[in-house]
Amino acid sequence: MTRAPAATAPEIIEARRGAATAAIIALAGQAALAVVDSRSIGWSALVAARLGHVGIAAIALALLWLRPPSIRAAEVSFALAVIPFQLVLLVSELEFYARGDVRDHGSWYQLTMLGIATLAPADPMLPAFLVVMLGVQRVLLRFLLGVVPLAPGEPWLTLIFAVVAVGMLVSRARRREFVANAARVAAHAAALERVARLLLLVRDRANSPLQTVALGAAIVKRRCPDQQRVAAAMDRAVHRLRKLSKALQRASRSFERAPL
Amino acid sequence: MPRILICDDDPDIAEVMGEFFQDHGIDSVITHSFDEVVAHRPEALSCSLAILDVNLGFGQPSGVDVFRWLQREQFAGTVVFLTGHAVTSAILEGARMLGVPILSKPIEGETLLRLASAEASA
Repeated sequence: MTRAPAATAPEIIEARRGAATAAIIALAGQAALAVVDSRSIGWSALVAARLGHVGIAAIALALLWLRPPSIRAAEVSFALAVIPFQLVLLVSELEFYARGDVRDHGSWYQLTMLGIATLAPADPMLPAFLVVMLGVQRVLLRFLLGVVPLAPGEPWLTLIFAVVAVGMLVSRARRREFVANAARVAAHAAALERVARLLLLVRDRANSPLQTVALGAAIVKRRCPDQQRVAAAMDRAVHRLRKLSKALQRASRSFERAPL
Repeated sequence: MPRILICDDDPDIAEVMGEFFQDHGIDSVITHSFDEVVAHRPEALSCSLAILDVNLGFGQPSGVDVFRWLQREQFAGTVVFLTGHAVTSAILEGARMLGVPILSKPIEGETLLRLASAEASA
């Protein structure tokens, strides 16, 4: 089993930004709509549902603020902010249906789907599931409960929006993956380059002392005939260091050419 | 036998190289910087071979500067550069463009003697 690579800081920032935007939109939007609905249709289950959503969105924001930054925390906050839309839309449709009033819910479904597709933090699975469930809800209300949508072509138009939204989610997930891979490749290349430069630096710094030792050994060999064993040992040591120096150079070149 | 100008900012290398040549009956002029070469102008110009370290220290005139000075002073001998640096540097690139042989440290004693004897027979 392979572990997913750790998220980079820009990935976490982008995920948190999406979750925070979704939570703020849910909080401010539902608060405004609660005021509008309480004035237009009075205190109702719909207004209560909207206020409940405001509370949950506030919790989502607080979690995002209080928990250590991570993709997981952003996904949890996003789910908390977005899932209640389904319930609120359901209550709204039933409320208006029961009252015999007219409200175009189709555009609300579509807006919610596109909002989810645009702001979903990372893993597209849950957001895609939510989008599909919104579409299913629309179809079930139409064909099981007989809630007839106002706009012609519904609920099929909303289902088309659902397909588009899922496509956007998949496309964003692929792009995120591509960007993350590119960032990882760039970091890997930079690390290899640092190693190559370090190897070359070690080699360069070793060359001058090695030159001194090599010539010193030649002098000992010439001046001290009784020290031939010592001189030979120094020669061998210089030879080994020379080989090491060449190996370091080869290694640094191979790092520079290493496939990424 | 030829006289050899050695210019290397590493005093150990310069001294040991001088001793090495002395053991083989070759006189040398040991310097560690551009200024020292200029200060020893008559001795430097009397040499038939100049072994110049390419990099003579950060912020200091390089072996390339010494080479150009020798050219200006009508140096009649041969010049070779010696470098311990494999990393491409501006100075090393400059030395390559001059068409002067560049030898990498550590250089064998036999190679030094071959260079010296080539000058002696020239």
